[in-house]
Amino acid sequence: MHDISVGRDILEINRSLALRNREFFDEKNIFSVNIMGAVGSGKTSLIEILCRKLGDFRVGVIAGDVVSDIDTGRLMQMDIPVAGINTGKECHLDAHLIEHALQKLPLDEVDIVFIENVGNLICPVDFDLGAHRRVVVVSVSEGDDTVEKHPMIFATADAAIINKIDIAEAVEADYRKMVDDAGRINPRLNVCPVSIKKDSGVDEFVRWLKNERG
Amino acid sequence: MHEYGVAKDILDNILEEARKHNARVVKEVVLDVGSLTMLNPEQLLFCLQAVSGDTIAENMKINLNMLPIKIKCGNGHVSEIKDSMGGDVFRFVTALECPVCGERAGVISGRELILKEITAE
Repeated sequence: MHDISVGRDILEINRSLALRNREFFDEKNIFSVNIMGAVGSGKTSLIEILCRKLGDFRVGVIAGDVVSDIDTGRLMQMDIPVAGINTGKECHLDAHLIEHALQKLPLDEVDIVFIENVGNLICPVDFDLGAHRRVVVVSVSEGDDTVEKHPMIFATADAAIINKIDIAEAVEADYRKMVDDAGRINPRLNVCPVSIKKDSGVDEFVRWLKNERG
Repeated sequence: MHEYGVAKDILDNILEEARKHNARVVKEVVLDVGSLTMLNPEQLLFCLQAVSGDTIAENMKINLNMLPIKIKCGNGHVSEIKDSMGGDVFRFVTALECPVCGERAGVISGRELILKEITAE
C-alpha cells in the first residue's frame, strides 16, 4: 500500500499557462481583453463595433464557440485576422486553448487581441486566459436580475457592459438596477450601460479601453 | 458545467502519480476544493466517478473537503469569509476590505483545487 502525498493545485496548471500567455502578449506589445458574457448578450456585436471605433489600432480576435464557426465567420467579414476555437464539450475557454489559437494569428500585425469567450456567466470565472483585462457583457433581455444572480463573474471583471438599454422598457427590465448591482458587487468595476445597436454609450467604453491600454 | 473537464484533469494527475509509484489500484484520494471556485462538489464527485470508469482508479473512494475563503489585510488580520454573511461574501472578497479594520485585503485561500493525497497499492 502506498500513501502518495501530491499537494498539486489542478487549477494552478491553468493559471501558470495563463501567466505564460500574458508574458507572451507583453513581449509582443499586444493588449489583450477577455470578453465574457451571456448567450446572445452582444459579445460579437461589441467586438464588431470596437473594431470600427478603434480604427487607429490593428485588432485581432480569438473567437470561442462550442461547435459552430458562426461568430468566426461574422468577424472575418470585418477584414481582421480571426482565429476560431471550438471547445467541443467544454463551456469555457482555457489558457491552453488560447496558447494554440495565438499560433494562428499574425501577432506582429496586431495591437489589440479580443478573446470572445463561450456564452456563459459561470465557468469562465475559474479560468484565467492571460488577457490583460476581463470584460463581462450582459443585456437587459436576460432579465434585470442577471447581474445579482451571477456575482462572481462581476467580482472578477474589470469592466461590465449592460447592453440593449434601448429596449429595456419593452422587456420590462430596469437597467439602472443592473448598473447598481454590478457596482455593489464590485466597486472597482467600470460599468457601462450601452446600446451597441444604436451606438449609444459605447464611446465611453472605448475611452476606458484606450486608457487601460496606456 | 466545467466539472467534467476538471475531473479529467484530476484523473490524469491521479493516474500519472499512480504510474510513478507502480501502483496497480488506486484505493482513495483526498481533494481540497476552495469555496471561491465555481466547482459544484456533487457534480465534481459524479464526474470523477464517471471518468475513472475502466481505469485503475475505477473504485477509488473520493474524499472531498471544501476549503474556506480567507482574506488577509495590510495590518495582518486574517479573516474567514463565511456563506452566512450572505451578499457580504462578495463585498469582502471583491472590495477586498478587511472585516476587522476596513484596510485593503487580498484573497489568500479559496481559489484552489488541490489533489492532496492518493492511497494506492
